[in-house]
Parts: sequence; structure tokens; C-alpha cells
Amino acid sequence: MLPYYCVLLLLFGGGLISLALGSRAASLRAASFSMCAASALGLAATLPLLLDGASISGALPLPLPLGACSFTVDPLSAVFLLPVFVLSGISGLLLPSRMLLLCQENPVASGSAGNAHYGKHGFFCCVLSAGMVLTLIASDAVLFLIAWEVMSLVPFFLISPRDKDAAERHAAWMYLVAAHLGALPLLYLFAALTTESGSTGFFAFAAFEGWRNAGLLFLLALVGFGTKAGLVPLHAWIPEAHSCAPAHVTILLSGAILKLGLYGIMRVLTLIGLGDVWWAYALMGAGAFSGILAILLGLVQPGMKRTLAYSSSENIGIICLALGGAMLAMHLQAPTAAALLLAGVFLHIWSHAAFKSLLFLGANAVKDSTHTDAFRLLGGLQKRIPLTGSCMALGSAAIAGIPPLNGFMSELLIYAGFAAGSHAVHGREEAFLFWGGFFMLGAIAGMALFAFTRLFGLGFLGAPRSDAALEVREPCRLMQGALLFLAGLCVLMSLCGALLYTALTPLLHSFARRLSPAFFLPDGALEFGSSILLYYALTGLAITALFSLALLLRKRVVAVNGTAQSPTWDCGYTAPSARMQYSGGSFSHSLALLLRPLIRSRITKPAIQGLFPAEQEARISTPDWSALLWEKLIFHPVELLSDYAKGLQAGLVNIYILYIFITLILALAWALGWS
Amino acid sequence: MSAHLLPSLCGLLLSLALAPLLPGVINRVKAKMGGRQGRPLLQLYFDLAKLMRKAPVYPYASSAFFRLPGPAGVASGITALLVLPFGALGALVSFPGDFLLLAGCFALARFCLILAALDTGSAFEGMGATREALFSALAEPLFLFCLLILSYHMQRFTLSGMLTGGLTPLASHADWVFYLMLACSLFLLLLPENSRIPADDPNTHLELTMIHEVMILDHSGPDLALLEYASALKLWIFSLLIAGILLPAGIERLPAGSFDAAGSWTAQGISALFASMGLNLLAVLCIAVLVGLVESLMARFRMERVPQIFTLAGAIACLAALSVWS
Repeated sequence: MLPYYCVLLLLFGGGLISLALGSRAASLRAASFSMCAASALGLAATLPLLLDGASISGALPLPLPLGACSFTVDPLSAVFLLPVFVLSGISGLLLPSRMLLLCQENPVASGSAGNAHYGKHGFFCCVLSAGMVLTLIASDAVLFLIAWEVMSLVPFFLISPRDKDAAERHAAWMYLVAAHLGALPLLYLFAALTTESGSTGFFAFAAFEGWRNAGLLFLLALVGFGTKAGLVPLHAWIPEAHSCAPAHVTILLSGAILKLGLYGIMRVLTLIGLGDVWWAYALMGAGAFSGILAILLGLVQPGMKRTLAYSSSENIGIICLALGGAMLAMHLQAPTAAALLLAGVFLHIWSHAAFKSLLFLGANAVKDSTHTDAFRLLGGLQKRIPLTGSCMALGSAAIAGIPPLNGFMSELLIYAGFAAGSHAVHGREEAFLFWGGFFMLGAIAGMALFAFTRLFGLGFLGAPRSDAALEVREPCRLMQGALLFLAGLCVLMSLCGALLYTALTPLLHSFARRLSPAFFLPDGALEFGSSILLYYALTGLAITALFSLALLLRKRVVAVNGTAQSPTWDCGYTAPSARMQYSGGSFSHSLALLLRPLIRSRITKPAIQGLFPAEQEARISTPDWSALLWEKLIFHPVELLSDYAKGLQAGLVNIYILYIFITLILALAWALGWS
Repeated sequence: MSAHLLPSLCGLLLSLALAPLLPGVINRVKAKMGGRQGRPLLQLYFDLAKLMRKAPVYPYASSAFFRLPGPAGVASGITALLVLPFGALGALVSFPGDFLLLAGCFALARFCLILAALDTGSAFEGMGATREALFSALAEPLFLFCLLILSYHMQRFTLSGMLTGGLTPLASHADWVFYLMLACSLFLLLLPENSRIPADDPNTHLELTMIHEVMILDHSGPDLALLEYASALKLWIFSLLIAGILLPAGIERLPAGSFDAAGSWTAQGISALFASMGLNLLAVLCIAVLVGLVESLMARFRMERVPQIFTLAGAIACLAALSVWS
């Protein structure tokens, strides 16, 4: 455990130094250095553990009021530690330059007052990384909850580093509310686990059998961790926080923190077991609902970052759908399907961490120089920033599930898992469930292609729609390096799918055994997935080779024939302008009309009257109805109630004395009646 | 193994060579139904040859993405043909889950095409792009579902196994309904996916009503040639898939005496192979004729009615699934 203690020490120490250095730019460098060093150390410690499938434990003699300071790193933690370390390394690397840029931009914040944010920001970045690592290695309920709270609360301070923008402040506030409400079920969950098993250690939980109300525990975990993971309809904080936070924070939010929610669900499953079959149905249902609804809401968003945020919820949905499918397959004793689906789950977690961070970095790079990410103002960026554009194209292709890349790789395993599951239960009703999961994944993938051709096509291609788009510049060298690194990671993952699968094999074994001791993954079931991935890499190479050949052929022919340029063909109209291009709203309008019941766009059309109508305005907006539902059902009534209760507090002493008097009388009456 | 390799390769090359024939057949059928002589059968070959000699014209707004869809379409078409069997023998490449790759290849071609359309900065091509994105988002899960239930019924994970290695449907009478319904569903998907009437009209001259053609309005010269060839390949792939499902597997499979003791072909085997390839070819041409007949006898749907085609295809696929469920 020593390397992990060093990682925690580095992060906390770096954070404190950064805080102490305060307004100086060196504070950012200290935080950056400690994050990078901690990442490198953590990666070096975690990779061998994952490959061996070993787990290590340790404890520190720290006096906690309850519980113990015990740590365990098992393969399940290791899988999640990898993206956390990689992304906090990148985040740390970008931290100084991003923060300087942010404070330069805002003339109010710059100068001595603005720099005061440096130390705090560096401190909280380090603490966030430390909190994530601590959450993943804690093996005690109390320690886990402490780490979870640290990890949950710190982003509140990071989302709005300059604390000037109303939208940012609103996003941070939303985040805080969601983090608080999400932590409530977890408190109850771990309290129940502790009372029943009589201990706070995870090992004691895992050894304990015969949970009463296991179903309730599962539901608490699903709701509590699902809020963090961003399952629809618990996702209300995601679009706000992800679209407002600065780049180096967003990649941690979307690539790592959301995954911790999934980690929580999986960890609880390993503690309380596979449970009833309805748990699998619930996970599949929640995943399918979340996936479909999030991508539908995502593809009507007016800006790039909000689309990406919704797509995070969609990918979490895919992962939950596959996890539920794997649990169902384990219930039905279908080892091949279970192995494929579980491998798909873990590979998709890694894939999503890579391509989503890539896309968020690219979108932030665009926003830095144009100060907008709205589709109606962008366009034509590819010609001006070819490097960022190409990386974004690669990320979009990966997330839309386009073959040679890593997004389709993990989806391929999940598709194959559902197909194998239906084969295994041939002739039973359960086959319908696997078919349903398969179909849902297909539908989500189809919509994702829509959403990401829209994102890249409208944002980066065509003609610039406004002057803001003309001002776009390539980001700084460091950012370019991060983009290239993440793009390379996407390509590398798709080529090395079979290797990654081999690395995951020990985890698949141990995870399945922890969920259900009776269930065993035979080698034959595991080989299936590795042969799929091997052939996938080979066909990917074939596609790439054929594509390059065709491009080469085309280039040869064109070199002989020569080329020319002309305006685009607009139905014979000779002066097409950039404003005539399709915009975000018009691109998704037909889909929004077709799926009205799910998307619920609001259209206000002007009433045109008279022969010479005045200038009118038409507006299409798509408020997130699933998030608004909470407002209507809970927040609004609570607000009314508290408004009403405000009247009780009049500030007059005589009224308070009256309250005390009434309370006394009631207490007296109760005491007399009771005795 | 090498005895299998050569005929599979021949099947692939045959597909690549004959794909541009299908649009010619469709056009000829439409012309005959309309009482006209029609264009030559080989018109697309002539067009492709001519386009390859022309200089492309690029719109001012376009970037490198404008040039990608042609090569991407051809590459993904060839990759799809690598896993799709032609005739009695399996495909050149076959691995578990390769039927999913088929949908992936279409997605790759579509992704590049939509981006290229948006790259022109033209309002009309944007319109085509959004329609293509919408209809393909509806078609993709259905297409995958059709392949899933075929795989479920055959208990195979490879396209080659699903199309050539299965049971003989003629032997068990309950199954022919399944094959017929599945083929029907895929045929209904073929029409919008290959921009045919009633979803899209390849011959219209009104940009407002087009889907596929409007996306390639600005492409010219070799780019257009590659795109036309890619769309012919896609039509061929769909037809070959439907032909493989419809043709009874008893004829698809080679008889017992096809190979001698050393594993090389006997005369009987070669004749059976030729017979099955010929039959497949005939079936593909028949499907093209059927597409031509549909185009001659139906009008194009209004845009908002196009999703009904998918609803129908989905309903038929569900019925097919129910018929073989247990």
C-alpha cells in the first residue's frame, strides 16, 4: 500500500503548499507538479496490480471516531483508478496554463484580487484527486463515506473558479444540491450495512450473508450512486456543471467522477451479492431509459458542451444497461454472455473516459478563443484549427460508434453479449429481455451518430456563421499535446482491444465470483470475447488500409485531372450566405418533431397578420423536462412550504413566547395523557 | 482451406465488378414499365469511367472532410463484402459477431457522408444531411435486430454461418414464414437505406425532396464516381444479404462429394459451387427487378410519412422473431 499512501500524501501536501503560496503563480505549479507526480506514481503502482489480478490491503492507525482507516486495492478499484490517474495527470498538466488564461480573460478578476484564486484552486484540484483515489481504495464504510463527501463537495469550489458568472454560480449551486441529496441514501445504505453485519469493514460486509431488505439496499445504492453517475432523471446537475466548469475540471468531472458513481454501484453489488433477478431488470431499465432520454435531450442542445454533457449520461446508461444484462446472464447461467457484457462494461468505462475527455478539451479550446460554443455562431473551424478539428472528428467518430475506433469496440462486445445471452436462453421468455437490450443499444447508437455528426458538422464544418467563429485559434501547445495524447489513446485502445481484454480477465473472474459464488466463468466463455476483439482490430486495420488506398487512388486521379473551386450549389441561387446553413435547431428539428413525446420541444410561432406584418420572432427551446419534473414535484412544493414557514418567524419576542407556551401546554397534555 | 479461399475471393471480386449493374437493371425495369427504351444496362459503368476523367470542383467553404465520403464508402463497402458470403462457401473473413460489423461499416460511410454534406455550407445539403441522419438513426436498430434474430434462429454468430451453414428451411415447414418475413423486413429497410422510392427518389430534380442525392450535389469528378460506386456497393450488399436469407440453405450448401480425399475440388463440387453462385446472382438481380417494380408502381411518400416504412419493417421483424422464438 505504500505507493498509494505516497500518492495521497503528495496530493494533500501539494494542495497545502499551493494554498500556502496563495496568490503567486507558483501555487499553481506546485499543485500541477503534485498532481502529475501522484498520477505517475499511481499508474506505476496500479498497472501491475491490474495485470496480476492481485489485491493488496493495508491500514493506518488513525483514530476515526467510528470505523477504521483500512484500505484495499483490488482489481475492481484498479480498473477505476486507471482513468482517475490518467485524467488527473492531464488535468494537473493543464492546470497552470488554464487558470492563467481564465484570470487574464476577466479584467475584474486579474490583478492582485484575481490571483487570490490560484492557491485555493490548486488546493481544491489536488484534494479532488486525492478524494477520488481515497474513495476507490477505502475498504471501510466510514472512511468511504468521508472520502465520498470530500470528493463530492470539492467540485463545488472548482466549477466556478472566478466566482463572477451567474450561470457558473447557478451550476455550482445545482451541483451542491445534487451532491447533498445523492449522499443521503448512501448514509442510510452504509448505516444499514453496518447495523446488520455489526462491523464497518467491507470485508465483513462481503462475508456476511442473509441481508434483510437486500432489495432496499440495492435501490438505495442505485439512487445514491446513480445521482453521481448521472442516470436520467437524476442527472439534472450534469449539463449545468459540465458546461460551465473550466476544461481541466470538466475532464475530471465527466471522465472520472461519473465513473465513481458506477464504481459505487458495482462495489455494493460485490458486497451484498447478485440479489434477485429484478435487480438486473431495474439496472437494465434504468440504463435503457437513461441512454435513450439523455441522447435525445443531448441532440437538441444549442451548444457543444451541453451536448457532450448529456452524452455522458447516455454512456453511463449504456454501461448500466450492459451491467444489468450481465447480471441477468449470471442469473440464467449464461457464462459467455456474462463475460462479454462485463468486459464490455469495463472497456466502455475506459473508452468513454478517453473520448469524452478528448471532446471536452476540444470544445473548451474552441470556447477559449471564440467565447461561445453555440452551434448558431460557429462553423468553418476545421479550416482554421485543423489539429483541434481533426482530434474532435476522431473523438466524435469514436463516441458515435464508428468501426475502427474504440467506442464501437466496447459496444461490439455488449451487442455480442446480448446476442449470446439470447442464444443461451433459446426458447425462454428471457430471450426477449436480451433482444430488448440489444435493440435499445442499437437505438442509442443510432441517435449518437445523429448527435455527433451534428456536433462536429455544425461546429467545425461549413462556413463560419459569425465573427466569433473567425477568431478561433489553436490552443496552447500543452493543450494540443493533451488532445493528441487522448486521440492517440482512442486509436491505441481500438488496436489493442484483445490485450486490454486479457488484462481485464482476472477482474472478470473475481467480479463474477464475488457477485455469485456459484457462478463460474469457464475459459471457453472468455475466449469468445478475445477473438472478437482480435478480429475487430484486424478488420479495423483492413478498413484503414482500404480507406488509405482509395484516398491515394483519388489523389492520383485528381492530380492528373486538376481541380477548380466554385460557390456551393444552392438550388440555382447564386449568393448563398453562411446564415442560410443549417443550424443546431434546424438540424435536430425533424427528429424533435418525430419524437415529440420524449423531447418535448416548445415552439412559439408568431401570428402573422395583415398584408404587411411587422418583424416577428419564432423560438424553439427544449427545456429538460425530466429535470424540471423534480422542480415541479419536490423543489417547488418545498419552496412554497418554506415560504409559508417563514411567516412563523416574525422576529417578535411575544410571538416566540406564545410558541413556547403552546409547546409547553401540548407537552403537558401529552405527558398527562401518556401516563 | 486454400480450396475455400479462391472461390470466396472470386465471389468478392464478382461482387465488386457487378455491383454497378444493379442501378442499370432498376432503371431498365422502370423504363420498360413506363413504355420507354431506357438507358443501357451498363450506363453506370460508362458514367463512372467518364467521371474519373473529370476535374472535381470544390465549394469554397469545404475542407478535407468534403473529400472523405467516397473513399470511406468504398472502403466500408469492401470490408462489409469481406464478411458477407456469396454463394455456398463462407465469406473470406468470418469471426463471431461479424454481422455487427456490417452495421458498423454502414455507419462509417454514413458518418463521412453527412459530414461532407455539412462541409459544403449549403442549406440544401444540410437538409439532406439531417434527413439522412434521422432516417438512418431509425433504420440502424432495426437492421441490427433483423440480423440478431437470424443469428438467434440459426444459433450462429457469424454471417457465413447464418447464411450458409444453417438448417434447411425446406425440410421444416414452419420456418419458411420466418425467412420470408425477415427478407420482407430487410427489403423494406433496403428501400430507404439505398434512397429508393417510396422514401427517396434518386431521379428527382427538386432538391427539396431529396435525401441522398442532395447530399452529393456538390461532389463531382472522381469524388462523385467513388460515391456512386459506394452506393451501388451498398445496394449490392443489401440484395446479397436478402438473397442469402431467401435461398434455401439446402441449395446453398455444397453436396457431400464436393471434395476428394486430398481436400481439393471434385467436378461435382465445382458444378455445385457454380450453381449456387449463379443462383445467388440471379436472386440479387431479381431483387433489383423488384426494386424497379416498386419504383414504377409507387409514388414517393411525403417526408413525414417515411418513418412509417420503418414502423412496418419493425412490425414484420417482430412477427418474424415471434415465429421462431421458441
